[in-house]
Amino acid sequence: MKRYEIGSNLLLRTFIVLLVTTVLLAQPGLAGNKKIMTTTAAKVMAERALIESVYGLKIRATETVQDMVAANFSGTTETKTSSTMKGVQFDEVIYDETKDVAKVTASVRLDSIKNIDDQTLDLKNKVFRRVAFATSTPSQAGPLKALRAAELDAYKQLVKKVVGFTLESQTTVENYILTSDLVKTKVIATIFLATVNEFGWTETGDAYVKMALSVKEVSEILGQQVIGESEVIEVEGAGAQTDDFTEQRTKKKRT
Amino acid sequence: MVRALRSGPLRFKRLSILLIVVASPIVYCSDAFAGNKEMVEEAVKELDELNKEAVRQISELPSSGKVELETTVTYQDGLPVFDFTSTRIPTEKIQEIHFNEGHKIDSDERKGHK
Repeated sequence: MKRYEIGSNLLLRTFIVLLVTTVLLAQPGLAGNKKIMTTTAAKVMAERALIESVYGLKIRATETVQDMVAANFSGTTETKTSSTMKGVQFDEVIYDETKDVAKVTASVRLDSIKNIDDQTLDLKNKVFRRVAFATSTPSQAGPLKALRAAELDAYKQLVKKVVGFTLESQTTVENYILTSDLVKTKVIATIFLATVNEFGWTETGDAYVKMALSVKEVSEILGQQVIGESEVIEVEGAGAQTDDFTEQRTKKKRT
Repeated sequence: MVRALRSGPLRFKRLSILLIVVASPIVYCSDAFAGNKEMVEEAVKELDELNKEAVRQISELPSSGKVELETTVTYQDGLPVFDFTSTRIPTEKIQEIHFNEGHKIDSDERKGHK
């Protein structure tokens, strides 16, 4: 009877081991659409980047800080764009199987386009190129989210430099010494023809995006004189993977 | 006794403590490496400097008091240019208030009724 039980247990264990091995071995064969989903997402991201670059985008950003304490800081940036673009080509599609991350380089050659402000831009067959990433694995999304945050930060900075922004504040002057009590900035504007010159991640994992806008080129394309024609306005946006600012604020509130 | 320490559950315990001691600073430091805290601090510093620059441009700035302003900021040659929409310097005085006397209000509306 005991011998029979030992035999039965051994058989069950062998069966479980075989089943697990089969499932593990069969996995690469089963996972078929992950690569397609990730590369498709990267292509969509690249198309969005091109639309933002050429057609333009609407940006709404606010920043508020009270008593100049970082814990009392709040900043938001929202973007919006919607357009139809024909002739987008995907020059390079790279898929990293181990990370499940796709990198897509897309380009478009355009003769003219109606931009976000309904202005006709004479682009003279100019080629626009943008790079985008995507993943369908949430654990790999950190660096990509940081990159998008850096991109939005760069757009915001560019808008602030090109269009300007509103500053509202309450300040205390005491014995000729200034203390900022409340500072608010806000900007709502559209921007187009911004180019990304460089992007990447630092050793610490923070992302950066170097963006530029050639005011001279914009005035030539628009056929209108824009202030500071010789200028190329350059900015560098930053984005982080982890929100250690909120974490620290929450910890402080608890203690 | 010494032999017992070198083997068995005690050895496992010692190894675990060693692992925690070694791993803790690494985990703590890796958390301090990346994040948005530094970026927020930088943004706060920039806002403070910009506001102070704007306030300094207000004529008749009091030596002590409050300043409220609203301005459009544009950049020219990389430097901010302020176009003030409104500036308000509410006056505050430390003075005794008497309830047994009349108070005159010096405004255009009141003058019109005289």
